[in-house]
Amino acid sequence: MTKDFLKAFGITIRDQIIMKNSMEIDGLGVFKAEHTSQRQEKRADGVYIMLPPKDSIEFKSALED
Amino acid sequence: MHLDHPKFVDLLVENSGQDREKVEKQLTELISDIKSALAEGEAYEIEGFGIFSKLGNNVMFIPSEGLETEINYKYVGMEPIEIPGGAEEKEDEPQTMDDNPIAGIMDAAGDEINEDPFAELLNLDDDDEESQEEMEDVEEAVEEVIDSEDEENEAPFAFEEEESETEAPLEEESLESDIAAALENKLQDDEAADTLSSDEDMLGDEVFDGDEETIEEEPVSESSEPEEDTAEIEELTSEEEEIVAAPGPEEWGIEAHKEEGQENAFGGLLGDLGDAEPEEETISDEAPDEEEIDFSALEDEPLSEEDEDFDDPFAQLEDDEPETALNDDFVPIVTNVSKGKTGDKEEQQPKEEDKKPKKEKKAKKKKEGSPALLYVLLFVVIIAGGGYLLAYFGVVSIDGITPPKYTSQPQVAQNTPPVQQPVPQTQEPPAENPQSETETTTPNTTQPEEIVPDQNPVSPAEDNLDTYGLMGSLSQAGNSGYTIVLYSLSRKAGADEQLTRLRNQGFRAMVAEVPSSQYGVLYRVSVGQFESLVSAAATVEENKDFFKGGYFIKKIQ
Repeated sequence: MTKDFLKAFGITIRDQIIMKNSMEIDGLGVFKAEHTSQRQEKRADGVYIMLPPKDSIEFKSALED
Repeated sequence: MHLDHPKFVDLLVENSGQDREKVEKQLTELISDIKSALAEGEAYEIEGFGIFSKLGNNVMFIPSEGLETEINYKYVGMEPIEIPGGAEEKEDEPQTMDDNPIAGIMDAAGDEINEDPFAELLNLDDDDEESQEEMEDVEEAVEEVIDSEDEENEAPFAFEEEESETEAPLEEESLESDIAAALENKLQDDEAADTLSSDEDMLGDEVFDGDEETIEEEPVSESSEPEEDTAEIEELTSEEEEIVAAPGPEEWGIEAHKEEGQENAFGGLLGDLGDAEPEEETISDEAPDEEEIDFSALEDEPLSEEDEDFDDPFAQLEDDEPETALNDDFVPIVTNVSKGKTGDKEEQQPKEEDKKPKKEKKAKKKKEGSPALLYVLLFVVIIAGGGYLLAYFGVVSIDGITPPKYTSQPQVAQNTPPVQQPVPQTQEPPAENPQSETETTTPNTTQPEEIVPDQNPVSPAEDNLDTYGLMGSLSQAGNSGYTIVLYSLSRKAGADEQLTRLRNQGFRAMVAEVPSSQYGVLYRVSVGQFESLVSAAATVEENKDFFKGGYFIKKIQ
């Protein structure tokens, strides 16, 4: 297991997540893109805050028993 | 899009540039390492990618900071923003975007909040559910519009419509043809944007503004339900004919007023709208008799509240105008009130103008009087001061002011400079003490040598005077006067020598001892006894050659 492989592994998953694709790796799990739209939240002091949108990686593991 | 394991391996092979077998082998090795690490309760980190960790039975993946940044590169620069008056409604809006694949693109557009709920719908024509919701909204809006039209036709404009139908039939025909053509064009127009925009307008319509807009909105309903609404269209067109016959208060009222010259074209409309407005308008346009009565009431009685509302401009006039003007000017008809106002103002203006010049003249007179006196006083003062200065400096000779002039000094022959006594050039003030003068005289520390006057300055005018004079012998009475000092010597022998010489020449010569703190005792050799400083100065003028070597005049005692 070389560094190039690990680097390519990360790049591959990253690119597919950016393209909103989900990937299934046997024995490991599923990587899925999750988008959170911009939204308002009310802080404890009553001030409304507009949060920017955000993309994140959702991982559903196949390792769980 | 979902990628299964073989496709993922293909991509991994492509990105790594390694053989498939090698890649699969390394991938299997990676998965086993992760499993073993998690089984031991440890986390497994892939540098630059993330950490696989296990919390209980749940395996978590925590992406690295670099990976999160790269995934969210579209939203770079978007920071949480505080909203001062954040609307609670907006909290629900982003949730509709969660399952939308284009939501990310929509959000990536910038910081702008999607304030327009239909903006999204315009860009999401492919979404069937949302389009159906839109159509339902449009149908509801159309129903509301139709109801509002019925109400409007029943309510205050009913009377107007009947009148307009009888009054302007030709215009109705042309408008009907125009509206029919417009309806046909709009039936062919199926764009959703128009429906939405008209939908917004319909929701915000009010009773009086809805007439013209409902005509535009009806094609919306037809575009949404073209088949079912054909019958409704006919009904609507019939309604429109009525509405178009009275498209708006402006056309109804203005044209009725133009054609028939009626002043009460808006009477029915205004009567329905309210009670206060018609009173004001009728007051401004008609009923002069009432205003005459009101003016008579103004003269005698204080205004009531209604009268104040009724005659606000006249109340202002009362404040501005005198009562006599009211009695004279308000007799004519009310239609001339505006002219009366202007006339009164014009009459008042000349009065004010007449008053202003008088005031200005008075002010000018005052201004002219005071400066003239000041100028005269200033002129006198300047002349007096100038004359005094001229007299004081000798330009003009005035007795009592002009001091004696000494244009020449007695010339004193001296052999050696150290012995020579410097003679002061300045003129002595008349009341100066002899002792104080000694300090002003230049000291002569050395003994003066022989001083020989060049000429014999005998003045015959002084010879006859016993008490005062340059020549002759000293008199006791003359000691109260002035003398002309020629030398100030530190050595008494030298003073005596000069005294003898001068006396031999016939002068009234004297020597006075003057103590000096710097030079000890000085011996002043002087000639003459004079009653006043002026006479002494005149004597000097007469004997310029004798006194050209230097002198000063001082009081003897």
